[in-house]
Amino acid sequence: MELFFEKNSVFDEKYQMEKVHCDISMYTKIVNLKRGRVLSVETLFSPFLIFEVSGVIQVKLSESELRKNDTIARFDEFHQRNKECENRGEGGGEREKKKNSDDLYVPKKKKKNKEERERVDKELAKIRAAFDKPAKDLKGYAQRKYMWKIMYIYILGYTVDFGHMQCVDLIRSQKFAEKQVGYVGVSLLLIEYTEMLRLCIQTIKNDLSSQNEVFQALALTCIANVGGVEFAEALTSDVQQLLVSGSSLAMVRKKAALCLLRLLRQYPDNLPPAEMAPDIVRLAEQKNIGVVTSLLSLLTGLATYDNANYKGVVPLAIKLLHTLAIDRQCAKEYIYYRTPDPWLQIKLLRILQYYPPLDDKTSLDKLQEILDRIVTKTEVTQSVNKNHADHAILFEAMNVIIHLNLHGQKMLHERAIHKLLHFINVKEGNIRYLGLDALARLARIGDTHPTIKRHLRTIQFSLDDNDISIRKRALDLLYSICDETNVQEILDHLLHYLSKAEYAMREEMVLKIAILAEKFATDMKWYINIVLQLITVAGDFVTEDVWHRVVQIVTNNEDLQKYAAQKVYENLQNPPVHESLLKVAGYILGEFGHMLDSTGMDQFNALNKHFQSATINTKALLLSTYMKFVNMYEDLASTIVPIFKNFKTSIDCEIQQRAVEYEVMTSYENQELISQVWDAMPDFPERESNLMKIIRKREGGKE
Amino acid sequence: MIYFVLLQNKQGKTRMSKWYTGDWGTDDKRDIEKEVHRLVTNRNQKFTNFIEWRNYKVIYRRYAGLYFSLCVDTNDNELGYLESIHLFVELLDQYFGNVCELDLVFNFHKVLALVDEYYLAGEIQETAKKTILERMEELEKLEAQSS
Repeated sequence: MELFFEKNSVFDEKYQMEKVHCDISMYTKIVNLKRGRVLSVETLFSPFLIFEVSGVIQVKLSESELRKNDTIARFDEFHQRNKECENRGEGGGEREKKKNSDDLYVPKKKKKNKEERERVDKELAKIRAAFDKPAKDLKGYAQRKYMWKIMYIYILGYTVDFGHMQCVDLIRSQKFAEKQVGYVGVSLLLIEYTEMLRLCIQTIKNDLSSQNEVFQALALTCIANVGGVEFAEALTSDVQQLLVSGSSLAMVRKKAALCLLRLLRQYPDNLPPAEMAPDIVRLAEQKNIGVVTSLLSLLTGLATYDNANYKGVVPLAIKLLHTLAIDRQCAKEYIYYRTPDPWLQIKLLRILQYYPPLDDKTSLDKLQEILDRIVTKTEVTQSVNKNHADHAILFEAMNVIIHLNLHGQKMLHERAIHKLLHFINVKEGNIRYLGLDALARLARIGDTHPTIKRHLRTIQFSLDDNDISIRKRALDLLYSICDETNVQEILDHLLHYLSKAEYAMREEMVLKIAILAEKFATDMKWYINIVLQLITVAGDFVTEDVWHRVVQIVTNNEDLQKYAAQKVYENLQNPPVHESLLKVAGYILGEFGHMLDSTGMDQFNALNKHFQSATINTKALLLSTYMKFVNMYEDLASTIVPIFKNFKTSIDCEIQQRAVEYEVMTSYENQELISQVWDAMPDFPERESNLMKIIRKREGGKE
Repeated sequence: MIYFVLLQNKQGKTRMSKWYTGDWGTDDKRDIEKEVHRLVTNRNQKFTNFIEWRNYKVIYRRYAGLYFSLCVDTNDNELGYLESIHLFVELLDQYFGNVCELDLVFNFHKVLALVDEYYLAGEIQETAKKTILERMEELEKLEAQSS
């Protein structure tokens, strides 16, 4: 940070210190530092601030200290002096550059919350009284001042429940300053008051058709900031008119474009008519880059809602990209750190992803040239900002390449992969993040897996990164490149990581591990092991769906049943036993426990010792298991029936019902019937795993 | 698209907010402001500038005592928005001349007007500093003339 000292320093008698005014570039204006000591503070700040100077001294001044320094008093005096200078027509004191704004505000003494609250209430009361007086008493300047104050108070977080009618009135004024306050007020304060908004519609319509570009701009900005169904219904066609009309200024046209986008998002049924589409597309050929920038966002939105009518934009986009990326021609003010308008390039690349690759060879060649140039010629320079801008374009180009490849146009994917594989090893976090992200999407192109899989170690390494954002991307990538050959390695790693992972990621990891295990398991026994491990390691995040799926699979596969029973029995012996494990064990032992060597009594004991600590649902399930045991092993009847008797008076009705019914069944005369009732469960019908449905729903939300 | 733009200081005070969606009411907005503040202030400096939050992404950057946060769609261009934050800071700096937090506080109406020339309806409207700043000068002249 640079410190600029004023030439004259003043010796402050009161504090016996050198008092020097100094300025610091960027965001903190503090004063007075000499030889590592804070000498005095002359600021216009609120009392509680932390000053950091050159990373060396941190001083927090409390209100009492500031009062001691007479800072607040001096602030008032300074402000007063400034105002007097204004009124006399001279330049304001030290704040010369900002004199326009200062006189609209009283000093905002932001003290502790209670005092602030009192101050705010006082002001609000004053303003309310002023508004209640007859309208003609309130002069223009005062009215505007009060409106700004109300808005400021609202922004601070207080509820303000008046001033709305004033907004509606002010937008009708023909004076710019008043109209401006009105419109800002509408967009800040009136958003949740739909009846009030309706009152504004006519005024807005008048302004839109007024031929006064300043008023048009104000109105368009307000509509874009408010949105809402009322505005969408009433004003879309007016905005559309402004967009395509020959007489609109560039400044108005670009606002109209984005305003229309907002309204369309609100109300997609209100699309511009198909006849208008070519006119809108043709606007993209305008010279004014601001208009083209805004228009492209509109066209992207239109491509989402009404794809077919806007495909004329694709050749235009390619042409414009060629000018920017290859010819590097661009108006001077749009060059950002020696890159021609990066955001426009990104928008152009983005809209290409909404349409399938063109048939015509020249356009395709041009596009290939552009993408190739971007992918190969983007370099890393000293300037952080230029790097970000260039790489932003690069990653968007990657998206286009992926898009083209997925639509059958094989192009540049080798180069893309190599670039991305390089990126995931880079030191800078942002690039690694984006590399992992892009690779996960690239992995959807069929034959890319072998290349990516060779770098499995690096990707697994990223799973250990300190930054959770990177970890999430690494997990996603591992999920998308998993197949039969590497599933064991990946799942081992994931399970190991799961025990250290933080809660935010666990649920998703559990889901993905369960799905991968099921999809690619070559050995179903191994699958059961994995799920049981999942439950042991992260049981809280294992949803019911996961273990239901295990039960389905085990039931439908005879050769698994004994193995599953054996496994759950073993797991029961190792504390701690998670609730879900108890449920799985309960069910499986109930159905298939008879295949094991261990006695019914052993199995019963293994389950029963956890019975007390189980939840109601688990207890209910275990009661059913016990019933199955009674049916299976006669010697257990004497142990289990008393349990049923015990729960006949349970508070929970499910438990009570089961206990009563089971007890009756154990002593029922027709035991053959009971045996049939409690025969093994039939196979489950083959249906899609619930887990897949959940994952698909999540990914649908992201796309 | 951009769902909201937030400028917050280290203590959690919101210095400027712009919302480009009507999905959230005033109370929800305040909660979100607190949540986002917690998210961005707890990040280590060496971490990426991207946070996955709900089903959006928050792109943020810290400039001295202020955090600039943009909430965007998950499939938006992260680095592009990151640099747009930087362009915004350069705009503020050029407009106010060595801008500091106080400038933003005392001139909130000007900051809002500036943002409206740069972003609109949740998209980037104009990327030339010259154009935006010239327009701001025009607006100031108009305001002075008609008041």
